Amino acid sequence: MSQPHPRRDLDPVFTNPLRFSLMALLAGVERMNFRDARDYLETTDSTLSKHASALETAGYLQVRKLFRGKKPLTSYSLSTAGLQAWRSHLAALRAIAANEP
Amino acid sequence: MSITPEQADQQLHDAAALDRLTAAFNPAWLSYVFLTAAASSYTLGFWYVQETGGLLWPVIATTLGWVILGLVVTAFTLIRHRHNRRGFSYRWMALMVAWMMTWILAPIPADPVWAVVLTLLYPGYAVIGITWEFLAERR
Repeated sequence: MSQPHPRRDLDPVFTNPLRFSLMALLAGVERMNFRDARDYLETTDSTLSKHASALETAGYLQVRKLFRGKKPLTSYSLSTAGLQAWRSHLAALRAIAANEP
Repeated sequence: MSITPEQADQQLHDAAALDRLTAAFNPAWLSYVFLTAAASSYTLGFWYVQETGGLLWPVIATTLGWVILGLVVTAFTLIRHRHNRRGFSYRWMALMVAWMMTWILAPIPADPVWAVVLTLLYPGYAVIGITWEFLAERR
């Protein structure tokens, strides 16, 4: 019996380019604040919030909200499940790029 | 979901490029170097004072100088360095525990050879920490 095609291992949550980029950005760090993530990804507050919420709902991203005075400080980090899903997704991409059946 | 090998390759390149954006040397390791320098200068200086009956205050002043430099760099790191690479906290804690345990448990020996060994052990920790961070960065 032949092996299933690696595209079946791609995570549909990461098909959106912004979500893909946010995962790529957070995979290498322990935590990143909202402003830095927004600036690195060259996006808007609302777009970043929307996609971060989608990743949070999927259980891939953890949101921490602190307050400095009355000013909210939001930061993001990947959950263990998120990091695992991201690594599996990259492995599937590598397999596809290598043209594996 | 359908994706061509070329698209997969492009996505891998994009992911690697984004990952590189956050790759930077963490200046916290510089403060660790100063802390190990403080421990080394104290160990060697205290041994010298024990052996020769020399003055202790230059040893303490030098040690405090290194500690203050370490604290300044720590403050700079907390203010300016925005995000740590994955696994940094673990590496940092491991090396801080090694530094502290050596400081607490290892008495300053009378034997000059052991005094030198202990003096070199602290910068050895700094080398291990920086190398570990560097290897983790390149993985």
